[in-house]
Amino acid sequence: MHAIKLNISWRVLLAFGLASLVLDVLSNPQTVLPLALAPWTPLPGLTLAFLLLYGLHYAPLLIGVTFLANMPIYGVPQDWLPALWAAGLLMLGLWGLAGLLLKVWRIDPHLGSQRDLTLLLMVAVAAAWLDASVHVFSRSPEAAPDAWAWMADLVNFWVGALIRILIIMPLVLVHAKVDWRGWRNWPIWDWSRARSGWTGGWNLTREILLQGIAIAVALWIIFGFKYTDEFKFFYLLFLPMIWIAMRHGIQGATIALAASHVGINMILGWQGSHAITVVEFQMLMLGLAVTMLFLGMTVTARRATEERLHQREAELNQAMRLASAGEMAQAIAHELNQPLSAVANYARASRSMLDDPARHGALLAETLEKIDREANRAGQVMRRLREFFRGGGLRSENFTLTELINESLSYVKRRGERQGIQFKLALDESLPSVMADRVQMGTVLHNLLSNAIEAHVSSPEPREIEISAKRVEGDMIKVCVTDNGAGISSEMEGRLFESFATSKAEGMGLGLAISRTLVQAHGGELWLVGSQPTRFCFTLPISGPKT
Amino acid sequence: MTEPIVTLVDDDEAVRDSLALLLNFRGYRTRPFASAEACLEAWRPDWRGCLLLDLRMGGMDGLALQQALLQRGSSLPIVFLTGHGDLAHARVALKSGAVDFLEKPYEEADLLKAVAEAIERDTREHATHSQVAEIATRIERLSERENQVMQLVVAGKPNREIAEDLGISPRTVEVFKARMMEKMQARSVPELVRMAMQADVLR
Repeated sequence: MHAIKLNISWRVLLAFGLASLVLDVLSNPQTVLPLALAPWTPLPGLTLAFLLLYGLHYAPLLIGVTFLANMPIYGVPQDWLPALWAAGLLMLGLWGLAGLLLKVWRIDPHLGSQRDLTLLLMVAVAAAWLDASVHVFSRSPEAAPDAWAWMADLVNFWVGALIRILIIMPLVLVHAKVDWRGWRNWPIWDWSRARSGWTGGWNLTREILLQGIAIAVALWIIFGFKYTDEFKFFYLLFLPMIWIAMRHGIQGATIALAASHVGINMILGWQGSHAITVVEFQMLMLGLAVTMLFLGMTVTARRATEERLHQREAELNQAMRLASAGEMAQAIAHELNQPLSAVANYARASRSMLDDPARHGALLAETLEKIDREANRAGQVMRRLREFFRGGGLRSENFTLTELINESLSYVKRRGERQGIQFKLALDESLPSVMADRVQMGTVLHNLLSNAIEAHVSSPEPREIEISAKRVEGDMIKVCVTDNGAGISSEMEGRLFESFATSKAEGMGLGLAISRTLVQAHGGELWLVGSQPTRFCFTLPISGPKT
Repeated sequence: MTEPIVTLVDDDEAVRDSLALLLNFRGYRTRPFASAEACLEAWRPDWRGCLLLDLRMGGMDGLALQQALLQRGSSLPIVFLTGHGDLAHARVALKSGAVDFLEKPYEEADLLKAVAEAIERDTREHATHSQVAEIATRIERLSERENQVMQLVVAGKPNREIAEDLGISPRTVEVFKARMMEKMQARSVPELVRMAMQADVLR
């Protein structure tokens, strides 16, 4: 038998308590029935999310946390025992449902697919019914005089609870992995970099602001006109929501749903709406929530597929590039071997001719001629090879190194992160663009990054790779790649840039040699700064190679 | 009987020419071809010596030529020449009976050793083959009686028993035996036994 070790973190409990408080404050007083058991019962959506994310064993603790969080507001209720029973019953149900999702259906708690979301929706319906039954059953008999009123209350509460679950649970699940402590580095604050696309920069911030305004405007049209029926224009809310879901996937959809839900609740609170309009609103809200969650999920899933495809393509490109390097090496070897073999054969024959020079004089002269011809042929192979790397094969274009570094990093980042390597970028944002061969510079960066990652294969934590780029004297840009991996032995250090010198089991030993040739062809230099930590730097003239 | 010749196949003119020159100076006769196809077309079953094949050639490559020659019943030993790193090919070639595999650039001594060994192997095999063929023709020339007598002599039986087995007089056995030994060109019974075994084992 294994000793069962339950991992309990006070941070999770604290987060749960705070979230419960916030949701309590935000929830619509219309939908929460004034009951004795309120302080005990955990919020079902939040509870489910926490059980899914942090483990089923948190269940009993969450009741305690709910009580502690609510006590300052509600005080200790008088009928505490039945209230505790009801809370326990509800928790037991939620615990079972979370177990069903995790153990039987094995969903990804961070919602990876449409299937996960569909199963979650089904569980939400059951959880809402549980919540509603516990609340409605435990009311005092005079709250609902007859069976019909009682049924109506149950359904009303059921739908209300379902909406709350559908808004809170996906919101928490989808955002649980967000690195909150790194909020300073989020792309939405990063206005200086003029990055294209939706992934970052001022464009993203502006878009999010516009989307927020669009929701506000939609809400104002729905509720602001005194002379229109309150929910006549509800469908207008779909427009900004679709926009958001299409652009930001499930993450955006959950946030926007929560924001509009809170907004509507506040408006309803001010206006003091009647119960009947609340039911109508609930149905609309339910439709909105389900539609947007699925739309958001579809967008996210499609984006993930696209990213995987892109990743696969990049890996394939890399493999092809390496394969062609290997093929090229073979072709070069063949091309050089032919004239060299011929020269050797001719020379050996010539030596024999010297045994009887009088007889073989003419033949010897002819053979020496042939040796000369073959030596020239070998020289030509070398010249062609040099032209391939130099001027001949160079296609200069204008680009920024920051861009290229980010691109090269994206090809290897996942491989590195699987090994637990942290990548640090120290890029001078004001770097001018350079004139250079983008593909060749990409090859150089890829070689340096690959070497840095492979240096970490058996190194202790923390594993770090830093890439820096800055402008240096003489209109050059200096790029350095530093790793704190295995380092370079002094024996290897002297032969680093020789062809076919390698310390790797499966290396050709061409990476650094080719990289240096490529950098030199651009009028720059590539060198080793230090071997522990290992730092390689190369320079590149801004104006491009001198012709 | 044709004399041993080194048959050279390389699509690189300089390599072919220099190799032929060198081998000529080392006392070998050569027969160069610029392509595997040309070599295959010219091939005759009575070629002796060995083949020196470049592994990589435009068109039909060395391995394909090896297979084609094997199919036509050639037993010429093959020495392959190759550029660097064709290990997989080398294995295939050696499995199909190549004698040697030289990686360019090769030492002259290695080349000469490989060629000499290949030719020696061919000569040896050819000699055995022709010896066996010779014995077979001699046996064919024996009459039925002489053949029977030979079988029994090889089986180690004395003349008296042979006479009993065949139902003839020992005197007649002596006559058949003498005629058979003459036709087989065997000077003694042990030599006859050796011939019979060689023909049997190697046929």
